[in-house]
Amino acid sequence: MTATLELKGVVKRFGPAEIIRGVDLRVLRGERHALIGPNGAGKSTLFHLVSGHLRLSGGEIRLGGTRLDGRSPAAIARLGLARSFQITSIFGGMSVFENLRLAVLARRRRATVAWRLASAMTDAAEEAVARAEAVRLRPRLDTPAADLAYAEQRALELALTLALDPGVVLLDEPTAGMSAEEAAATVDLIRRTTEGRTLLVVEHDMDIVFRLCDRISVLVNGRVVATDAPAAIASNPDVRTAYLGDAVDA
Amino acid sequence: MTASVAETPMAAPPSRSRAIGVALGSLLLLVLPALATDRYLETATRGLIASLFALAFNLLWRHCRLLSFGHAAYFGAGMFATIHAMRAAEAGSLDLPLPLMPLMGLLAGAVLGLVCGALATIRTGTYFAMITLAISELVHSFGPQFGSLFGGESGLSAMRMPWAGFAFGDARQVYVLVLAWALAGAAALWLFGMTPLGRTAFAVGENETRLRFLGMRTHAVKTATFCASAAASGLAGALLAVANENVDYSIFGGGASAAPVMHTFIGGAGTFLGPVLGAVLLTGFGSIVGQATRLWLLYQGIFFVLVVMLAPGGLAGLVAAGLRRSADGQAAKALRATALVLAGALLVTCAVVFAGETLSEVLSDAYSAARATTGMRFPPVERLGLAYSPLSLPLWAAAAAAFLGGVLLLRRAMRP
Repeated sequence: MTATLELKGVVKRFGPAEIIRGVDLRVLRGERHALIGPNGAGKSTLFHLVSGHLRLSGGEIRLGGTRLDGRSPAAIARLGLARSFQITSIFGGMSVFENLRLAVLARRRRATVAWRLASAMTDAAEEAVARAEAVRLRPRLDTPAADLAYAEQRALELALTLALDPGVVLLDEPTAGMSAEEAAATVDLIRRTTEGRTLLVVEHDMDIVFRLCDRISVLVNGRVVATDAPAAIASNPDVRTAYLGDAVDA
Repeated sequence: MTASVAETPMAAPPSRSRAIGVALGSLLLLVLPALATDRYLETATRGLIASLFALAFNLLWRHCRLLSFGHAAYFGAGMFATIHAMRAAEAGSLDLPLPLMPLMGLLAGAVLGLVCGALATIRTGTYFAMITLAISELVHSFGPQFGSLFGGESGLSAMRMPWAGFAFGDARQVYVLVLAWALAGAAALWLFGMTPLGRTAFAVGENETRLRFLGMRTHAVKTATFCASAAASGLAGALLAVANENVDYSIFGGGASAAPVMHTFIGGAGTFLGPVLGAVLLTGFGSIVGQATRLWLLYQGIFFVLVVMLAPGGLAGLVAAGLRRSADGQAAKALRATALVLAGALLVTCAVVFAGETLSEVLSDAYSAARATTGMRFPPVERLGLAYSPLSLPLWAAAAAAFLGGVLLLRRAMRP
C-alpha cells in the first residue's frame, strides 16, 4: 500500500518542552485514519505541524513525494491537504453562500480577480450552492455564518474544507461539543462527503472512531505507541493501559 | 440549480432609503454650482476631496480590518506628484491636459502604497498601525531635506493650464473637475468591494487564519488592498493639488493622517458611505464654525470623542438603526430616539461652547489688558453677545447640568 501522507521522526519543541518526540506515521491512500490519545498527547500539535500552522523542530513530512515541512499553510492547502479546526473557524460576517463561494474561488485560483464582479462568476456560485446542499445548508444560504446553530457551523466548517477538493483531509475533533444525535449525523455526513479521499481525524469519542475509521494510531506523550485496525487497537494491552484504561476509569 | 443568491448585506440602511439618499445627494452635488457662492463651492470641493480620502482609508479598515494612521503619506505623494506634473506642463515639458493630471497622483499613491503596503501588512493590529504611522513620520521628516522635491518651507506652486476652452480659473470649473474624479474614485472603491478580490479582502478581516488554510496568500491580498487604498488616497491628494495649485511638506503631518480616521469613525465605518457623511459634516463644520471661533478644533475633538463613546457605529449607524426601526413599524420609537439625540446634542453643545469660549476669553491677552485697565481681578466677559462674570456660579452650574443632562439623554437614546 502506498502512503499518501508520511511523517518520519517528527519532533516539535516549545523551548525546553518536547511535545512531539519523534513521530513516525503512514497514512495510506484512501483510508480513514484516526489519531487518538489522552489530553496533552500532542494530537492538535501534530495537526498544526502537518498543516503548516507550526514549524517542525526536526524530522520530515511528505505528501505523496512532496516535502510539506517548511511550507506555508497556503502552499500546503494548494498541494491538496485541507484541514478543519477544533474551534469552529468560519467567516462569521459573511453568508453561508459567500463562505462557500470564497473557498470555491480559492481552489479555482480566482479569489483575487479584481477586474470582474464576483456575482458574474456563476459557475463558482453554482458550485457553492451544490456544496451547501451536500451538507444540508441549502435553506441557510443567505444566513450570516455567525447566526447558524452550532452543528450547522460545524457542517459549514466541513464544507469549507471539502470545497478545496483535497486529496487529504484533516479533521480536528469534528463532533466536539455535539449531542449524540448531532454527532451521529455528522459521522454520516463525513462518511458520505469524504468518499474516495484520505482522511486523518482527531477524535475523542471512541464510538465515533470505531465506526468511522479503518485504522487507528495512538499518540501518547508525543510518540505513536501503536497503529492498527480498530479491533486490534481495542485489544492492545499497551494501549489499554496508556489510554483506553484511563478513559474507562474516567 | 439556480445561483441567484444575493451578496451578504453589510450593516446598511434598508436599500430603498439608501437609494433615495444617494439620489438626493447626487442631485445636490449637480445643482450646487448653480446655487452656491464661490466660498461655499470651495468648501464643497474640499468636502468632496475629504470624502474620497476617507473612503480610501476605510477601504482598508472595512475590508481587511487594518487601521492606518499614516495615510497622509499617500495623499501627500499624490499632491506632490500632481504639482510636479502641473509644473512640467507649465514649462512645456509634459503634454498632459489638466483633467488628466489627477492620474499622476493616483499612480504615485499606488506605487508608494505597493511598497509601503507590502511592508506594513506583514503585521496586523496595533503593529500595523504603528508601522503606517512610522512610515508617514519618516516621509514627513524628509520634507525639509530635499528642496527640489518638496520645495522646503514654502512648498511648490503650479498653475492650472487651460485645456479645450476651459480656463479652470474659477471655483465652478474646479468643482466640476473634482466632482467627476471624486465620483469616479468612489465608484471604483464601491466596485472593488464586489470583485472576488474585494470579497477575499473582507474575509481577511473576518478570519485571516482560516483564509490561509484555504490556500490564500493573505499577505498578497492585504498588499493589493493597501495599494488600492493608497491609490485612491493619492487621487484625492491630486484633486487638492489641482484645487490649491500649491503644496508643502506639512501635508505629511499627523493632522492630515488623522482627518480620514475622524471622518470615517464619526460618519460610520460600517457602511460604505458613512465616511462621506463624516467628511462632509466636518469640512462644513470647519468652514463655518472656523470663521466664528478659534476653538473649532477643540469642538471637533470633543464631538469625535462623544461619537466614538456613545455611537460606535457612527452617525450612519444611528441613521441606519433609525430607518430600520421605522421600517419595522416602530416609527414612534425612532422619532423619540431622534428627538432625544437632538436635545442631548443641543445641551452638550451649549455647555461645551460656554465653557470653551469663557475659558478662552479669560486666558486671552485682551482679558489681561482689561484686567489692568479696570483694576478688577475678574472683569466681566463679553462673549456670545452677553456680558457676564467668568466666576458666576449659577452659569457654571447650569453649564455642568446641561452637559451631564445632555450626555444622559444621548446615552439613553443610544440604548437599543
